[in-house]
Amino acid sequence: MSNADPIKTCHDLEREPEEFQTAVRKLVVSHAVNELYGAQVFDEPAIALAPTPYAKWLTCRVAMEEYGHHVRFRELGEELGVPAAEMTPEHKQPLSIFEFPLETWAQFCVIKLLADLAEILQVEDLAHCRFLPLRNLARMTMPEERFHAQFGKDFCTELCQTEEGRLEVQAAIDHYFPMLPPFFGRSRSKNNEIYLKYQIKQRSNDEMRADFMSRARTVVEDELGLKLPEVAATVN
Amino acid sequence: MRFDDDFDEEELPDPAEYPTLVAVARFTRLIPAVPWFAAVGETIGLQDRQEAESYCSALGFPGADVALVPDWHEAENVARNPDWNDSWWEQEEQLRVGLIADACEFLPEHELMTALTHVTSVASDHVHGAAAIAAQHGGIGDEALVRAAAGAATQACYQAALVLAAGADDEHCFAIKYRLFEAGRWPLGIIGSTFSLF
Repeated sequence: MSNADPIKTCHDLEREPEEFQTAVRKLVVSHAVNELYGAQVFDEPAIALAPTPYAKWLTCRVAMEEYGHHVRFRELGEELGVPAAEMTPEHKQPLSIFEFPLETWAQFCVIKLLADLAEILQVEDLAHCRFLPLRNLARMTMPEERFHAQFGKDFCTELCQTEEGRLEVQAAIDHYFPMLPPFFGRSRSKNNEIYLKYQIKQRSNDEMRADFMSRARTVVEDELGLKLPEVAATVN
Repeated sequence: MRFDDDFDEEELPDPAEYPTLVAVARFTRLIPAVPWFAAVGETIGLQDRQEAESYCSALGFPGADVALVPDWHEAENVARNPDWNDSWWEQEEQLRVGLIADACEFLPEHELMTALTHVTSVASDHVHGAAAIAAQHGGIGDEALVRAAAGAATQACYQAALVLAAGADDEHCFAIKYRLFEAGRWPLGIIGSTFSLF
């Protein structure tokens, strides 16, 4: 399938193959659940870890923005007929990247730097999605996702001004970065094949993962002057 | 009964069932009408000074000097000062935890959290734009500073709503702090023995 007509509304999607509809719902539910869970396990607890009122208030705002993303994806999910209760972490298991026990401000800054970079790649891809409500949602959330990654970069840069902070940021990267490649899914993924077939997504999991590795290396090694741990380029 | 007309969140608790939520619902409806950040940097009048002093006393810092922060640059410097007095934040946290316990005597915790999430969602939608406009008037285009201001205002809404949900009186320090925001100010906290008011 190449450059098929865009699907303009949720109603129009109902006329498409069941496999297409299911794939869209699956993706929307995943975003709704993970935006909420991320805010609960990382952003909200990070308010207490933030070192100054400025950092605390900024983190409050970031937590609200992440929660706002959950609300937008949940609303789209409801339009697609998914009950709200099915778009919560209690109902659907969140991603493994949230299994990281957040303990320090440096860890949170690294999570914003790298996990939000990974999220940017996903949202960039969805910004060309054939299903327009999802494309529009991706475009709407993109500026905030970019800001969150910039937040991570700015505070990591600030921490790296001291040797102690630099070591803390490096330790957080060493600990957290290896958890991120699986975020893009398996190299041979049935879901990804379906997403590509219907142009819900534009790139394979491995292509996205490779792009992420490259961008993460640029920001960590070239811009922060730290070292990115070696990890496998494929996930099976 | 519903919280407000333009929010069709079916999961919100019914204020009729939980009387303290009637005041929270009323409070939430008024958030968009507050002149957020409209008076930042202006000379501190008698009423704002008295409120600021009352806030400090209610928080356990009687005698703190109230100082005017004249512009956004200085506001950022104060908020980012690593020598800030973190005990005022800790004190607020303790009061927050106490209010949650008090509020839970009137309604289940899940209902309380749902109501407070609604308050912060409504606040979040309004305060960011207001902070951006005020900062622009002050010659500032710093996205992060605007977001920090919005975060502070959203936190104040959450705290003030909690006061109402817990049935506490309007001399609670969170109620006083909210009135400072309502007056168009941004309270920046305590450094040493100085309370900085933008």
